[in-house]
Amino acid sequence: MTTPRWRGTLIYVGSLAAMGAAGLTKFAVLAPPATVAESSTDGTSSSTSSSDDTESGDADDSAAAGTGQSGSTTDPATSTDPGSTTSDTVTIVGSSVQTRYGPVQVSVTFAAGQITDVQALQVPGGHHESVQINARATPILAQEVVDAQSAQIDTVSGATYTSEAYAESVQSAIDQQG
Amino acid sequence: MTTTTWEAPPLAPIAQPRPTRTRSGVLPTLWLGVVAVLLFWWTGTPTATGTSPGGALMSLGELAGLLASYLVCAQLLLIGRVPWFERAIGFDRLVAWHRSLGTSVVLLVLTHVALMILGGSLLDGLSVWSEVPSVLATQPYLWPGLIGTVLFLAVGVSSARLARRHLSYEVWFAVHLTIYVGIFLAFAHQVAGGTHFVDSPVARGLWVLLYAGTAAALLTWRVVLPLLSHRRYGLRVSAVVPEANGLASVWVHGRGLSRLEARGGQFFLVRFLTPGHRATAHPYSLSLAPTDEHLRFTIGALGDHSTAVADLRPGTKVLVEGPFGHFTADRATSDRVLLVAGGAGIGPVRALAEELLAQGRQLVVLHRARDAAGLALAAEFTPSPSLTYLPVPGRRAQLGHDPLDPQHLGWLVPDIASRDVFVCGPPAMADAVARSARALGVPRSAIHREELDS
Repeated sequence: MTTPRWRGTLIYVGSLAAMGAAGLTKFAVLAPPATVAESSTDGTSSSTSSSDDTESGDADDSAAAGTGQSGSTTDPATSTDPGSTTSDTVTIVGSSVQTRYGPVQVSVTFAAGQITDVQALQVPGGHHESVQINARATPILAQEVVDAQSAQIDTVSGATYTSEAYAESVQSAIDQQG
Repeated sequence: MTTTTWEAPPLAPIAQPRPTRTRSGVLPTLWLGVVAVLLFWWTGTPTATGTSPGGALMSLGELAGLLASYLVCAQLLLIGRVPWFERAIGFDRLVAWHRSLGTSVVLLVLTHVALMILGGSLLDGLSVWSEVPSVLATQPYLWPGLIGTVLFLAVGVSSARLARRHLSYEVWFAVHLTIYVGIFLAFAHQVAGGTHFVDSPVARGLWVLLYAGTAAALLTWRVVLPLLSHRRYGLRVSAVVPEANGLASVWVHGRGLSRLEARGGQFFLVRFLTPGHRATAHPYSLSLAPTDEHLRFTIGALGDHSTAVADLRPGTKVLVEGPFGHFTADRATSDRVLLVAGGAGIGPVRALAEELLAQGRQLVVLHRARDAAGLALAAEFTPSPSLTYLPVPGRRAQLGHDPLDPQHLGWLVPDIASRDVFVCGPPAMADAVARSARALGVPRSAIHREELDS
């Protein structure tokens, strides 16, 4: 029996179509989260614009940072009192950085211009083991950032990609804070 | 021994026709596996991966790699001589599917590489060219994976129709064997570097299981069992008899061969254990219904070593795998049968005729050859009321017509429409006969073909 011509190529084209369809359905779900993210940026930009009323052009910076959403994620941050930035506690969300294993995003808390805390908002956690890896790595990375008061940190072994993305997200938060 | 003339034995009760090939779950299972791989990718991919184009591309690249890797296992199993597959699908169709999937796998591997490099370069903010050394330096086992990819390409290219025409069977086979190295080298980078595996011991375990299972099947049915049957049957060449132009019969002697349960029209993968033949197995059809002690293969001047069988010495050990094939008497649905043989196709037709006659069917054997000297085994077809032998020698150019076109075939076999048609020969001839038979009113289900290629 001779092999039907082009059958292999057709199977390949079919699998490409299946891959495309899978990719579209998987990632098209991103459209709603994207709008959610946008609306949250709207929310935060309004909150930052409230701080914009009181002070100078810092908020423009944060708006220019694009993906970075600044504003309070959990607690007292901006809403407490939009007074002087120097004595205030501000939590700024860094940009979401894509890695091989998923996105990384942090929020950096500044008090009186000093980095007092870093929280990981998103780490690659799609897989069982990366949760463990990142549960181990993120506290170390946070401590490093607080110690260095910058994004110039050493990578944690075993979590190279996460470390690099972590630093990048921290840097974007620092940039926004100005 | 060469001219074992035989007469039509007395009428025997006609065997109940059986369905030719039972619908099997093999191919649906294969496609289910593809769906399982898609689901595995789906559950293992965080949606947020798609937030950047680079992440989405890499994720799809991973999917391409997973599919390719799965299909490689499927391919190996298809040609792994697994009895379940052989019975359900048949060796010829398995080989055809193996080839088709081979094309898909090579293209998917290339897609995987392209998407990973492209997506990675977008993510890392590098150019495509600097992305390659960068991932090679950082990703685990990517160098072996690269070598494996090159081997996949070599096997794919050497198996393309165009290349096969220019490559000897031996060269092609040697290149093909390197795929095992390629698969091994590529496997390490999958489980050690694949994002779907590094994080999940369960996924890693399942993937290792898939590969281990495939390897076990290959070892069992392609290595261990053939060696065991080699010991059990003790097959050796007992005689080599020239039959006609470029055709010779190889008689193989053994013990307890009825346990092989081979039927006329089936073939074995035969390997003669002597220098020059040892490395390769060839598909040879039985040209005599097998006895408990003898197998006979009538071998055409096809391929490289086939022509050299005339030099085989009696006593040479023989390894066989099989029997394979569905070109058997139980496919006949009518008690009147037309057998068409071309070239070396006369071997299986001869064996098939023997069994069909034993079943009491009425036969016409149409024997095509380039010239009268090429009509091998002609003397074995002793005419009788149950058997009409029609030799049709001569090239089409000399005859001035194609004796297998509808007009001439209908003239040669006027009652063809009421017969089962078995055709064995070169693909072009088998096509011509099938077309003519259809035109003369033979239902598709009554046309049975076996093609001979190198």
